[in-house]
Amino acid sequence: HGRRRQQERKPTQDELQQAKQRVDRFRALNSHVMDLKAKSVFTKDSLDATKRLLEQNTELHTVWNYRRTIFTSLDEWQSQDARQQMLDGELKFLLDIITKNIKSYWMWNHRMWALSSLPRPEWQRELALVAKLLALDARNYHGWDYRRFVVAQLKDAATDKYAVDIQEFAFTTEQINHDCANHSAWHNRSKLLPEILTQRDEDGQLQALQTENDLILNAIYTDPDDQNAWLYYDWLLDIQKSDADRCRLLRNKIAMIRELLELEEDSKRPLIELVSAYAELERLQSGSVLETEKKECLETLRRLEGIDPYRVGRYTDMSRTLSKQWALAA
Amino acid sequence: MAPNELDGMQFDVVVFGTGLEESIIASEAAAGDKSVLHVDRNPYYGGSNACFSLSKMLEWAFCHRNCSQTPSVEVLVGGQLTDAPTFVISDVSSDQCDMDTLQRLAPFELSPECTKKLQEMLKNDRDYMIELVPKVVFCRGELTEMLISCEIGEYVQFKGVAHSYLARNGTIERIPESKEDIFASNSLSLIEKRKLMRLMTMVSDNTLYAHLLDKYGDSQFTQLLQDKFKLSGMLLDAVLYLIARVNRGDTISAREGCERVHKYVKSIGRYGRMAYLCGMYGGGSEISQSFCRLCAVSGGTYILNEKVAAIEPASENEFSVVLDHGTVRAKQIVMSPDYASTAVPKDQIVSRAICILDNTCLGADTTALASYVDDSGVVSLLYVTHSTMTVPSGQSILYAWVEGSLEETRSLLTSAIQTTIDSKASPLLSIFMETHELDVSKTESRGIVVTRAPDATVDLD
Repeated sequence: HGRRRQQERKPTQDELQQAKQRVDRFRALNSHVMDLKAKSVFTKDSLDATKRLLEQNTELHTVWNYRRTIFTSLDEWQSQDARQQMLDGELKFLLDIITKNIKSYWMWNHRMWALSSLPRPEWQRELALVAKLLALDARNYHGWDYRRFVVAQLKDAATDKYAVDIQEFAFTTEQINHDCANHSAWHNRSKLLPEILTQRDEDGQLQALQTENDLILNAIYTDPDDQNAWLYYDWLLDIQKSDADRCRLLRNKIAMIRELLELEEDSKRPLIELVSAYAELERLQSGSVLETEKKECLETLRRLEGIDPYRVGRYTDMSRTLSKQWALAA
Repeated sequence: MAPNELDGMQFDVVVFGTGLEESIIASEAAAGDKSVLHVDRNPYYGGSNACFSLSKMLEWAFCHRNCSQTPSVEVLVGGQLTDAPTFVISDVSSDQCDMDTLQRLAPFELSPECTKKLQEMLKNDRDYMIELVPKVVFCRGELTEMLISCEIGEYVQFKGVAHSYLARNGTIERIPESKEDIFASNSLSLIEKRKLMRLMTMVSDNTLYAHLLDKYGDSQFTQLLQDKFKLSGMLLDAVLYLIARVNRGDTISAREGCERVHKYVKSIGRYGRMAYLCGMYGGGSEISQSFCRLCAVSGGTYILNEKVAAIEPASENEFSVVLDHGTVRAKQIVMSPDYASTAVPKDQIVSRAICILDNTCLGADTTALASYVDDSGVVSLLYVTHSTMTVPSGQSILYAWVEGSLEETRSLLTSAIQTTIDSKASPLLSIFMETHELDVSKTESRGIVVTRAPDATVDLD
């Protein structure tokens, strides 16, 4: 996301030697653990072996599976207290290795399993943990997905579920103010908004939608090249109750695009959005788009072929489709 | 020191004045293995960049103010900014130093009210660090790079200048600087946000910027902003006066203007969402002292409170310098212009106001820059609070300065300050003065390096 790639330099002989030794040690440990697994050895020792292996490579999902099987086979698993202690230790272990590979699906999966199996899980602490993670990397999919998992658990246990939604919604607002290009935050917001709307009366809903509209307009004007902002606008359009509302928003969208184009007439994204806005408008309300406007769309697509030559195919295809739909010469 | 302790000593470089430029030169010379003697006639570091507690500020006004630089200092205790000054300090009598402040003010016969107000303020005397010439530093400017490479950055602390304000037509608006601020701002309309973003992205993208300069470099900056970027009204003023720091009535080329915007935009994001840093504990002075420290560590000798009687060329490559404690020989001389006997005030005068406020008008913990624009001129303002450790908690200092004599600009400065305060605070103490840039005759300065006196720009670069 706009960050420069760092130049890679060639490794020295020494480094190659050390790397080879690490690989050999790893391979040995790996075969040892797979061997234990094959023999269905479910002891404290095999548990320890898997730990040492996973510290080096968090992606071995078979080993994670094996580790879970060992846990559930141990005698201590049956006692609530002993299980709590074991899994608390497991959570700490995961925390220690999380920085190695923050994007490991298996590790997050294992964490979810641990928390689901805990007699007394601490969800607030998990929320704090994921907040910290998102502070480090605001667009980490795993972070956001995990957050949704934790919030769902909190919501389950909460008496006021609506308050949880409101809190999460405020969190997305915070993230968006911090970086309006944070697509994950917008996505999460789109999951929460419908829930929030159901809790409000007619006036409250209108107000909420107006706020969303204002917010997304700010994002579009700050960076009209960000496709995500336009997508969110279109989604807001979709959740409107009537076609009349949708058409109104489409007309607003067109006016907005015209204002942007006045400033920058060859701006790719607004141009393509103009065409799709008119297309949608005609689809919802046949005959509402003027002949001149239709012709303008086709002309715009022609211009786009020159502005964005990589997508010539797309524009010519759209041209053909629209011409047919609107019974115009292409 | 013994009366003739310095007699007969020889130095590669003798530097007069411990202002910023002189101190940087001194430290560079010492690092280059030259023997350096660095003297200052004042009992404090910083020269024209010095920084004082409240009592020391008044002492400066009485004792150490160099006549040709600052003819008089007007002090207003409390009251309205439009009131006549409570007292004016115009004579320089250097033998009254180290007197108790209130004693010193006795001849002015201040009212008991005023005296009480001053006494209250003096209780927190040490909490004030008032700068003679307030300046900030670009986050990605030459001075910052220097501070980092000299490792001074490791112990001199800075606060980010978090907010920028534009004051015009009687109101003050916060102008956003970074993308995040622009997104969240309530001061700009949607299309204004687009226009500002467009300008900033174009100037920060290397290819687009080069293309821009190529095509429009020689046209006028204001023309470019109006025609190509469609800026007008508040936004145009913000870019011209707040970001590019153009003076009212000045016309600069598009190239020059874009360079300034480029420097500004480049600085944003390095340490946070702002373009400038403000030194804590009195920026300019702290930085000067740090360079002096560096010089001393590399072997430089420091003497404060040392008067210079004469500087004469002694032979082909040497000067003879007569000081209080003896006569030394120097191969090279570096001096701040106020040490030259032929120093003459140039036409460039900067009128300055220092306003200590009883409240925090632009934010409780922030540092901010502002520009006030009206038909008569553009005033630069710097606002500091307790977070820079230069004023007691709950109070703030508003510095304002503009080119021109005090007589011409007094009402402009007052309007600027009043609009910025916006009735949110009242002045506890206001100080008005002029600082003059000095010209040194060519004959005197032959073979001597004369540094520049601080100017009216906002940054130290």
